[in-house]
Amino acid sequence: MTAAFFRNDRFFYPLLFILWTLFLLIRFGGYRYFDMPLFSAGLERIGGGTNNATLLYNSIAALRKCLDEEKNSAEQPHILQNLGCAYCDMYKETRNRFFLDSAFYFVQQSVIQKPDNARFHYNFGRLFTEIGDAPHALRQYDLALRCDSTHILALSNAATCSYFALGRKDAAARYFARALAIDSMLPVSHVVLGLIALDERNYTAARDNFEKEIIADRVVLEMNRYPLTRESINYAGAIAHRNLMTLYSTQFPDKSVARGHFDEYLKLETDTSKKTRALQEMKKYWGE
Amino acid sequence: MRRKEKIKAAPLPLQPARRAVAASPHFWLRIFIVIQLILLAAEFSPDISTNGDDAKYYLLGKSLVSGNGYRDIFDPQNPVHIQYPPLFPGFIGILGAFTHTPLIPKIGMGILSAGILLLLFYYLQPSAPNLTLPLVLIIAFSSSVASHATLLLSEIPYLFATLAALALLELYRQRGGTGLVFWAAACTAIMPAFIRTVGIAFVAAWVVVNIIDKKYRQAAAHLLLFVAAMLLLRFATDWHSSYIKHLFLKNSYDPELGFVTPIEMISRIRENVYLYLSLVLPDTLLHIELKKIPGMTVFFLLTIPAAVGWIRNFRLSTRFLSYYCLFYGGIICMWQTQWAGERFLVPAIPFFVLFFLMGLEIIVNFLASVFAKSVPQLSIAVIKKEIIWGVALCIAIINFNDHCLLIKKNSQISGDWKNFYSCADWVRLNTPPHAIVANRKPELFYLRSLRKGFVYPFSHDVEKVITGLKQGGARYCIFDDFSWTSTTIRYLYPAIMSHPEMFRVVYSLRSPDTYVLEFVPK
Repeated sequence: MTAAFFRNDRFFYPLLFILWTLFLLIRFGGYRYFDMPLFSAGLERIGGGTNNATLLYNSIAALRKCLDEEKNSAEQPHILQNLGCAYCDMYKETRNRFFLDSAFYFVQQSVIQKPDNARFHYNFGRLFTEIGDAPHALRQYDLALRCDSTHILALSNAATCSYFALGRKDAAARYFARALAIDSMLPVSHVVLGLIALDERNYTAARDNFEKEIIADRVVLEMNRYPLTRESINYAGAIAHRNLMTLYSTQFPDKSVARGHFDEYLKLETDTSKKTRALQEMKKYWGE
Repeated sequence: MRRKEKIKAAPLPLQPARRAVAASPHFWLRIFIVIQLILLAAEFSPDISTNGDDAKYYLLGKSLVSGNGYRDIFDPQNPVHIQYPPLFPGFIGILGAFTHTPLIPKIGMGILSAGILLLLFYYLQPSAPNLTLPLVLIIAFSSSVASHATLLLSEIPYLFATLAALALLELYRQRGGTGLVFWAAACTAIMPAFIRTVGIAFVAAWVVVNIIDKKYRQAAAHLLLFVAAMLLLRFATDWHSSYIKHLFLKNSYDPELGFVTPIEMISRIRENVYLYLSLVLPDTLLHIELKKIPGMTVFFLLTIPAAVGWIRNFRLSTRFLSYYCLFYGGIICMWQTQWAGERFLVPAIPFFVLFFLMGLEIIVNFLASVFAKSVPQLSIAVIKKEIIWGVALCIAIINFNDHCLLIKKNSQISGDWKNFYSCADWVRLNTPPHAIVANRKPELFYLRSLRKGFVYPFSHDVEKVITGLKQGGARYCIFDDFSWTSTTIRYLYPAIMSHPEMFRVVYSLRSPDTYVLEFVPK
């Protein structure tokens, strides 16, 4: 065997392999293993703009497949929950009621399968909030808090739900007190507490809370600490500036501060009629 | 008379000598190897492929050569690698020691694949002279072998080591004694087990065949060398194989499911036998999906002759191959079914083809003897040769067509990978050198971005995913849209949507949507 090799091939194959190597070295020697990145498409959020529905649709399809394929029973409630959330996002994107019904079904199933998960109850509560069923929403937020008493988003939503939908100021104040003990920069909380103080004619407390709200909103927007949209934070900020404008025009008169809050309010307010009313009010107080 | 014959056989001036060279098997071997190298050059890509495993091998080689030990350098934890044995990464490391690119190791793979043809020829020519060249033709044109020869995967070096050991064994048997060739054969014979763990089948067959042949000294020497090498590698690299554990796990991706029961193992073997024989094998050899063919024609056409040849070979001088394939097949059939695929068959494909050709020869002999009575002028020898060459040519032509497709495909990179690599380029140029990036293919990402990373946890529990990212120290995440897997949209996307405040888009691309996200945990 060896003799046959040496007799026949001792020159041919080494030469062939050397030539082959040289050919490839010459051909690919200058190959670039690193490159410059392509131009960025922008810094929009994931699935931002027109692609969101497609991404959500793909997500729903992938999760539905998981639901059939996943053999680990511990994962099942999480898949149901994620599927419910994806349907909820799809509803927000399309406003098609079918997606909301699906969201309800899957989130409910996940809550049934895993009733000790705070996040599941919290998301179930959000769905009830979406359809305006405040009592059921509050019940779910309470269940979430039973699973995790420090679930700050459940506390926040329970408070806003109590105040705006059910008109229960005391309950709202209690929830916010618990939430602020965890994070004093929780957005929306101070504006609600300010409104409660305003109702109670406690103007100093109201002013302090509205001012805290403005600081909290700025911090939250800079640090991006909560899953809140800029619109909802701006909404709370607009309320705070609007009320501070009134307070600094009536209870603690200071024209320049009132004017400053008025200007900030105009930046944040999207409703033109509200802007006009605020302008009329400013003119009434300061005569300009 | 003898003198007359000598005169007849002596090379007469010019013309007859040329004819003799052209007709010699060595001439055709050269032709086949040249064709194989031309095809390989056409399919050659200088870059690491996107399958991920070759990047792992390459990085392990780099780690070994740089003195970091047998560790995953792309992983922030720098853990000892336990999946692959260290011989092949060591080989890559040595080949690539003087360059910063995988070009030289990849060229080395091509030369090894040509070496396979040489070894096949020299190993089988004495025992199966009629079948060797058709076999070499099929392997030279095999697009499965070629596709592995253009990657940094262990299949080609594994096959090369098995054939080198067999060739050395053959040489030792021809020469006898216990000199250099004996130890060279024994040392080479343990190499397959340290290239791929399935090579334990080769070690087992070597020991068993030597025991059957009553060559106890050889069996003992081999076993001793194997154990010594195992201990040495363990001592030198901390490598220890988790192969046995994975062999018996229900699902390696979900170890919580535990180990298989004997009944489950039997059902797994049955499922694998069906998968390999009816789907993977025709696809590896002929690149056809069996579903497209009416009935099980191809399955029977391939498997029955191969089975006949395999059984027959137990009584021939190459019986080692039958034992080896028995053990090898046994192991791959016990392996988890989700991994059944071409990669497990490539190292055994020349032996399968050999059995197939042997079986074909036996069947043709049998049929010719049956018909010999009715058609007396039928020459068995002629028919046999024509049929075997015909079949080999058919297989080669089918494979050649696949080569053409591979050459076309090679020049393109799909959009999802293009965007993934662009994200890696962006990360390399815009992030601190120690930034850790969670992504779906950390080894490939590391090669391009020079940033360490890990795979996000595969869990539907979003809190687990977030905790995994925090624990891994991830500073960036890559949100890909890979068409070959949907793990990102299954596991990472829900986590991002449930905690949008923790993720900030810093770079994005469209078609398909791919993002670099900064991870800012609370």
